[in-house]
Amino acid sequence: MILLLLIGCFFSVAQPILDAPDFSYQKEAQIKAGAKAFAQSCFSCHSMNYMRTDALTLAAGIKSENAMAWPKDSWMGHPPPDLSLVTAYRGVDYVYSYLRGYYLDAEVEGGYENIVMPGTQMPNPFSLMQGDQVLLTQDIAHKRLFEVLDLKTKGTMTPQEFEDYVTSIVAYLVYASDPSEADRYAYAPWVLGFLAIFVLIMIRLDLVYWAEIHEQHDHEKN
Amino acid sequence: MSDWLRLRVPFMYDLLDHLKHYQAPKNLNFWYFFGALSLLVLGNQLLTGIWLLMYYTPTAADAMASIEFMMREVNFGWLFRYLHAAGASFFFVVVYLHMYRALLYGSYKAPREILWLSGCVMLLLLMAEAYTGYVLPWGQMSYWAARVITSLFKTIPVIGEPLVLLIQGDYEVSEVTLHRFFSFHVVLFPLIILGFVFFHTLCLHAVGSNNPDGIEIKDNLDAQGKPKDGVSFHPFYTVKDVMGVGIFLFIFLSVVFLAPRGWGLVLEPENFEIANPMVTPLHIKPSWYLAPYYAILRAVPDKSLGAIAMFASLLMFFLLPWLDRSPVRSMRYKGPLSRITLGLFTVSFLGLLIVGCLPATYWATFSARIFAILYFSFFFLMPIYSYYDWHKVPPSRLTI
Repeated sequence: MILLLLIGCFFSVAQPILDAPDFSYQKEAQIKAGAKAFAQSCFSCHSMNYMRTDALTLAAGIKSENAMAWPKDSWMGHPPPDLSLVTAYRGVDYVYSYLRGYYLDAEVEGGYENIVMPGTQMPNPFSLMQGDQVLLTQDIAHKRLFEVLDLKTKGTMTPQEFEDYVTSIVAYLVYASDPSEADRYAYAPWVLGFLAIFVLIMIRLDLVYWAEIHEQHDHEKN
Repeated sequence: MSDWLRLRVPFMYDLLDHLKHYQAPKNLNFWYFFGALSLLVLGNQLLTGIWLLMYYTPTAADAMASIEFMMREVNFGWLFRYLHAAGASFFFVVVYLHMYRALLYGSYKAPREILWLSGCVMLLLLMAEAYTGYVLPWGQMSYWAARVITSLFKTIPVIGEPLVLLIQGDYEVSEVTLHRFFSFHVVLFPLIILGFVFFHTLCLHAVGSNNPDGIEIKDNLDAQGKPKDGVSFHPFYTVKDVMGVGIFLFIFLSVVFLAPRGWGLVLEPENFEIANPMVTPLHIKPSWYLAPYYAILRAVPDKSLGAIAMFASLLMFFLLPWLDRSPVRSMRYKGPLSRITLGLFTVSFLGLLIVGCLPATYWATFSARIFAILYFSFFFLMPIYSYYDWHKVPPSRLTI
């Protein structure tokens, strides 16, 4: 019964299932490409403030002092946010699906609506590259994005090229939200390997010390 | 050398001597690692905290930026930050397991009441410490959790309002509050906690460790007046504790190096967004270690009654030594009633922990109510079931 109660708690609001980006095995190259793509498609409005001294970021031409400074009341009080930590608070899949989730909607100012963030203020940055998508059905709950969105007109990129482009941007954003990942993964085997050996030695040492106590106890019992 | 020390600092000398020759029961098991481990995590929090302090700025504009710059531009800044953040979660893991050990083996029963009470006070202090620390990054959840929790103190009659004003230093949670919490987190609470750690250890050495059999080793002394079932703490338990520390560090550092955000449990996603008093998050939730009490707060329809229930859920622990009327200490010799109720308590605590992290939907509130009733009945019914249970007679000597 307790299990049923807990399962009941997990049913949530109707939303499409978010797509997960398929990151390349050549992480560094993809992040570099993503930084260039970010400079091209995002940096005209969004800042990347916490990466002010990151070599890879500076090499792509993303310099904090060149970032657009928006007044607080611009964009109806929601100026474009800094994107240094966006994948950390929105989630990687959310950002990836958001960037690929624009579709034509004549009723909306600007002409595009977004499937994961309805009513978003951000104009579709990719309409030329991606082409235009249309919504196939209003019933989007628990559906995959490819089931409800369809490409109506071709863009300058093929669907595969566009997917790679967006994936690289997301890869760069993930990197920016925590640049320590490469360092951490490099140290981890040494730290954990040392501890594993240390624990094995300590278990052996513990057994040696305690053999005496156990012997004595058995002796007393007999 | 030892005489030289004994003449000059007798107190320190006796203390070290006592630590070395402390007689611990022979049969301490896995559950007895967590006292030493909480000391280890406390050390980790103090050390990494000192480093974080070198770079952190407690202002609304710079708090998060100073942390993010530290993690990117200071050598190993990310390591200190992740050790401190994951350390907070692991602190609660080891402290909860440490307390569970006391429930299992009746370590709160006479003559260890003061030992248990000092531990309960430390749990409250640790929560205050964790909560004030959680506010420091000044993210969305820092700010809104601060608002929710300070508003709870307003429900205290008469002194509630002025108390909140004193804590917040303002009529709303603001930058002044951030400064105050910074000072509480860095100076006030750590000092009191350290004092209690010392007191807790002194109390332990006065009454001696309990053990999985829940019998007194001091009842069986040999010709030299040493307990027959005791061993010197050093080297027998130092060697065990160092092994435990190794195993713990392996798990702890795996999280720090491989998944430092702890799947949203160590560092919540919502708290990477900078605090914005104009935008209320859809779903305000506390850190996982405070979630059980938060679930109890939400389970009660009335806010003041909910706050009372929440404080009561914590105060219940203080009453344990007098609620348990069982003639034996250890679960090994307690009867089926005690075992079943402890099992249900375990399920209800974990259940409250889970629903406390979920949005307050109909089912979440409904299950929180069921779990809360189970949680409180464990304490309220204890004088009855612990007395009328079918106990076994504990052995006179330890079982190894």
